[in-house]
Amino acid sequence: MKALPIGRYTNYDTFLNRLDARFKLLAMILFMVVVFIHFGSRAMDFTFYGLLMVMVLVFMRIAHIRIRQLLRAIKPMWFMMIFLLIINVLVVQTGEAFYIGDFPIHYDALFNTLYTFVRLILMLAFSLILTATTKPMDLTYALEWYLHPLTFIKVPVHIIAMVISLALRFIPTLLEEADRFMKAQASRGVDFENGKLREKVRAIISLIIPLFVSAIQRSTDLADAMEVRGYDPNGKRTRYRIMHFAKRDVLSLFFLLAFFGGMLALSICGIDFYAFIL
Amino acid sequence: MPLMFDHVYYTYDASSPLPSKAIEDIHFTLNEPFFCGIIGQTGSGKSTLVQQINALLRPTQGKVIVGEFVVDSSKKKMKEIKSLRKYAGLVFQFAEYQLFEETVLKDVSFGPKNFKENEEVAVEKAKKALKKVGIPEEYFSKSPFELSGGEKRRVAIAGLLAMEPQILILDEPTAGLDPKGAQEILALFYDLYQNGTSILLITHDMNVVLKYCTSVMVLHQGKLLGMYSPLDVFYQKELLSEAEIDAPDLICLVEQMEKKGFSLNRQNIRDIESFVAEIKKMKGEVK
Ligand SMILES: Nc1ncnc2c1ncn2[C@@H]1O[C@H](COP(=O)(O)OP(=O)(O)OP(=O)(O)O)[C@@H](O)[C@H]1O
Ligand SMILES: [Mg+2]
Repeated sequence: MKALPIGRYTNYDTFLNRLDARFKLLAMILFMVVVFIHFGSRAMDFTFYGLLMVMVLVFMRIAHIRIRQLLRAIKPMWFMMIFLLIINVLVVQTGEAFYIGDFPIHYDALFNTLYTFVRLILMLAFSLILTATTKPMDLTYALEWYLHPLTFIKVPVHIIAMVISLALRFIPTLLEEADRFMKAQASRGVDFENGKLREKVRAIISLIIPLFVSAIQRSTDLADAMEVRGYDPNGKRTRYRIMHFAKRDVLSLFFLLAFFGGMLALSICGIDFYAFIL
Repeated sequence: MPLMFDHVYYTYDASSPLPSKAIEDIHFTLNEPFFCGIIGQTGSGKSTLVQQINALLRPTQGKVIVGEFVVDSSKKKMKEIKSLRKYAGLVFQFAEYQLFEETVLKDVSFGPKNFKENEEVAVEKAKKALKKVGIPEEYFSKSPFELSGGEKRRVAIAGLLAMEPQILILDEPTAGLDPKGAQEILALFYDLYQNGTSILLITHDMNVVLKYCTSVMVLHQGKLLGMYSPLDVFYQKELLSEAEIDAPDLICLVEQMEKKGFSLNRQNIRDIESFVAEIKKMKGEVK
């Protein structure tokens, strides 16, 4: 599907595909934390963003993800970024500024926007890599594995995992269906791209209602089908595929933790390399 | 006016890591009015082919000429796309899911209204179309979601009839209808054809092809094996086995009878009635 914001799993047999889903989930979360921590100075921040970007590109190369896929995921964000820039310019009134005519533009405003932008790109890139190299089912299993301790305080982890995995399972189906309904309504003269607001609203309604109707229909059918086959949400379940940590997972985990620890240390101590150089 | 495919190719997800070729090098010309069948196995590219006609999908290569419209691979938005979609109306497989309005009548008049008909004319056209597909008047104010599957299908078909397209494309319109209902709907299409509308019918029911179609396209794995007369195609054993299609029972019967020494005029046999007539003629000759 064209509109899918995150990567569709592609069945390449790469190192990243082979890694355990639990490890990859943890890795993504830690990378995101790194994306959000501040280092000693702005220059340091952007140095490490550059480093992360290089890592992202290497991972993407390994996983056969094209840059174009990432660009496509970023595309819808332009509008938001411009909006954010305007807000920032109007609101942020600290730090040094330069003037366009009489109007002050503060460097802080520009940097604020840039930070958000870079962070968003990095986050998107990491989730793209995760979803392109991990089957949705494995991700759910991983999530369930992490949530497992919560069963001790009576959280229905298994049910949550089942709901998530069903939802994930039906995303492509729903997208396919939306595509079909769009085509069917386009055949009846609906124009989804042009038209006045009123026409646009009608166009959307002609798409949403059939989608809802069929989604509800589908979910009741699915519930019946599961019940008929004896699914019991509270029953004890065994698993067909059992996940094992392999040597590569342990090694990768070691590198990940070393990297994360290093980053954290640099951040907490607020070390600024550039201060030494200059 | 002609419907022309000029070496049309279509690949799904062409720029993705997993492209899939759906149709390849489709080339044919049909002169209006036609009642053309499209047959082929599941996945042979029938639905993909017809979606090129009203530009729901644009060819990856080649072009389609529909009346005065040209659909080609250019990324540009077609200005006349709306007129094209009014000229060539497409009823989808499982069309019943496209219903969404509060009432049956509103839903059917949705199409004409989109093509800038005013309210009254649209409602008039909708009523006419609903009558044609055999939906009684007391259903007009019902919600489409209260209808049975077959009734929904009829309403959906009416939704396109009300647009009065010049070419009506139908993707398995009778799948899942009861035999009598299916016959009625097909008779309606034939009636439209005789009044000058061109019909392009995707179907898995070979009896329908034999009975109604003036020509038939055979697709196999995205390639057009050829355009034939339905009276010829079912006697070509090799072609049928290549396309993995079974001939209608009636054809098998005729062939068996010919083997046993009966001489029948194949060109006259399109359905049970014409078969019986042919047998009667033969009896007359024997006497
Ligand atoms: N949206 C899509 N994305 C990717 N591939 C598709 C898509 N739709 C169809 N295909 C592929 O294109 C090929 C042709 O599909 P198409 O729907 O045209 O077949 P069909 O002849 O209409 O089959 P059926 O008789 O089952 O309706 C199939 O191999 C199918 O897997
Ligand atoms: Mg089809």
